[in-house]
Amino acid sequence: MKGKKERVIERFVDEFEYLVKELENYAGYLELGEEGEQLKNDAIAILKKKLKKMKKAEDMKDYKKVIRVNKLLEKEGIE
Amino acid sequence: MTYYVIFDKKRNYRGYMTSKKDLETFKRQRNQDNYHILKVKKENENKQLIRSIVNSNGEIIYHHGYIMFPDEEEYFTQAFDQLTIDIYCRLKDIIKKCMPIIKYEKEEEKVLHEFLRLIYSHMKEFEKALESNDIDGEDVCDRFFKIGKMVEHIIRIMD
Repeated sequence: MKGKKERVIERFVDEFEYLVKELENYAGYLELGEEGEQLKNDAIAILKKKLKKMKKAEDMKDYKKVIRVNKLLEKEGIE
Repeated sequence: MTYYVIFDKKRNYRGYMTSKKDLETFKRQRNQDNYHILKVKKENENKQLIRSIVNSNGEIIYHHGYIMFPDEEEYFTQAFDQLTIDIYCRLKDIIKKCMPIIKYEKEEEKVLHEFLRLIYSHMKEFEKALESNDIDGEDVCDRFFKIGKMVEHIIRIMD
């Protein structure tokens, strides 16, 4: 059974996934010019790489490689 | 004169066009499985039918080379307004909720900050340009957004 901490992390991963998708979608409609497009592609690639790592994580140790877990839990009021 | 009256799959009236060229464009751009086209000749058909078609305010509109029905154009305008609001919301969420929590390499952080700053300043410049009376509103939108891509997206939803 998942504990409180895991549920908080999972919720964060879900929200992050949603925001990355949304940002990629919206930024795709902006006329950013050649350099801007390149920057957009690089930034989205970084965000997706982080997301992939989060989704692949199997335990707290894996999560801690990509997320500041303590900071997240603190923010959610969990010590 | 000929009216090409368009109905959707459920036989709801969608709009009309009078030019054969527009009809060909419509057939090319839209998924024809979802539409039924009725050809109405002004000379032959009853006047009441013609009058109700013309009064329906359903004549097609061209938007960045795409054929749209009037209600789609209205939906597009609303979606565009919503998009500008949503971009700010997503930016705020990413910056406030996600950026402080995720671990980055220094170079990655630099790229992400530059990107988020770029989008924010792009939107601010767009707002400023829209407020200025020097340039036409449509031209401003074209300069800052890929409007054709947005129209295409709306059409796919409607189809």
